[in-house]
Amino acid sequence: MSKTCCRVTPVNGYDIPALEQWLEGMASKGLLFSMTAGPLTLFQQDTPQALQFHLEPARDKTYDDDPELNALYEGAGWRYLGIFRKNYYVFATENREAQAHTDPDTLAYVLNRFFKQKLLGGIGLLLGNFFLLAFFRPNSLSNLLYWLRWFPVETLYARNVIPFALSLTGLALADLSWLLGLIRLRKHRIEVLSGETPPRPRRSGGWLLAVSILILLPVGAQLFVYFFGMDYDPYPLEGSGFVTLSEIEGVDFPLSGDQFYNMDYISHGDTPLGPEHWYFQQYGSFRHDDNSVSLNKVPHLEIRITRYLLPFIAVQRMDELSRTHDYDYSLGGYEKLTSGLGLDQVLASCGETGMSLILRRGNTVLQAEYRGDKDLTEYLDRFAQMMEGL
Amino acid sequence: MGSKERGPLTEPMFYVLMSFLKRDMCGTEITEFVERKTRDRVRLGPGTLYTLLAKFQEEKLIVETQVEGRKRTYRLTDKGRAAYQEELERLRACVADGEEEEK
Repeated sequence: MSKTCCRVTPVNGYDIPALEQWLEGMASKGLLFSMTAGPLTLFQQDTPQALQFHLEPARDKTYDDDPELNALYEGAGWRYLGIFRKNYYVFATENREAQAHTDPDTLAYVLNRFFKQKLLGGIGLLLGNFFLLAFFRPNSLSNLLYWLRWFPVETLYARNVIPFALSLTGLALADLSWLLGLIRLRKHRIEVLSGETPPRPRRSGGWLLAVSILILLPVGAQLFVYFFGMDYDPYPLEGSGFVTLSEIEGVDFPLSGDQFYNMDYISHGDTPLGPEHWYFQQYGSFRHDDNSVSLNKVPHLEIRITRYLLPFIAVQRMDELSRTHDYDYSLGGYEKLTSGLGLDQVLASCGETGMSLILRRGNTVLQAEYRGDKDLTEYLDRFAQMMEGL
Repeated sequence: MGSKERGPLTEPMFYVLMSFLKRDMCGTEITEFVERKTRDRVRLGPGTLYTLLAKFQEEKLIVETQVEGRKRTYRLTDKGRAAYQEELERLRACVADGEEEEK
């Protein structure tokens, strides 16, 4: 039983002479063309053969064999091997003198039709460019540069900068690959009409498409997660192990009855290109119509946790958070506390009306902001447990 | 193809149209006809024949009459016959011009 193996196609998908030459080279090494999957070409392992290949451009994008075409080719001594990227029917023969096309005008007509198809296909590519870039476009590029300088981690993750940058790079490579392919297709048509045969077709351009697909894959995964609502996965507060305002203020402490201000769930989300994150907040009871007891005066606990890809990103984020000041709590600067309890970094800041803690455990950063008269550092072990249990 | 909009036919085009003059033909029969008729001077590669059959069908010079397994049979239309005649007249005129010049 023959084995299948795959290779990245190193040749631009519209460079027909170079593709044929590459397939011939692979056959001479005992790898016979079988099919394609994106930028990959699959081969059946066989005995090395000196074969001549021909790629017959399909009239439209094709998924199926063409029985009449195969019959004509087989009648002329060619063997049908499969479809290359829905664009070509692949034939091979041991006869080095066999000619698939005997009329340059007819071949030029085929190439011209194929060129026009691919030119029109550019409209789809253009729409893809517009859709992706518009979807992930940051609001203001000048502000973005400012924020990237001072708060790189927050900016990269919070403003779609990573998917936008990946989309821009991936699409630029895909567009370039498409454009170079069209140029080579046009040149090939001119060569056919003039009867010239280039001494050695250039074998390049295939990596452009492969790299662009590799770059755009996570962007596609991100879109998939967004569109199918898989980026948000909340779970109940009960049993979550999260520190609550009741735990700090006492079990009899009255909490707000409004679910928005007294969350009975943990907001939790994750995307392929973003960090996993958790959010939770609780307010003490207050009356909306009583100006003497406003939202900004009752005890409040707010917890934000983010798990980054790598610990050094979390260290950078700690630094960014320690440079911000929450004026609601009139916080001062952050002080470094002794680490322990499995925590790598502990920063605390006290203010007139509350305090803030920033903790790091590996690649996870927790920020807890509290308004009230209790000391949050007494709950460090509980926060450490929380982070361990995530 | 003989007309102002198509231009002159190439040899393979001309002989493919010629092959349908007496009867309906399928691809293999066309190849055999052309090779026999031209004593192997004009070769018809499978890619060329496949393209021409599709092109002639699109231009309504031939129509498909039968599909039998992988074999498709075609018939020349009036438009196809006219295109062939037009090309034949053009070639006759070319030959006549050449012969006249040689006298």
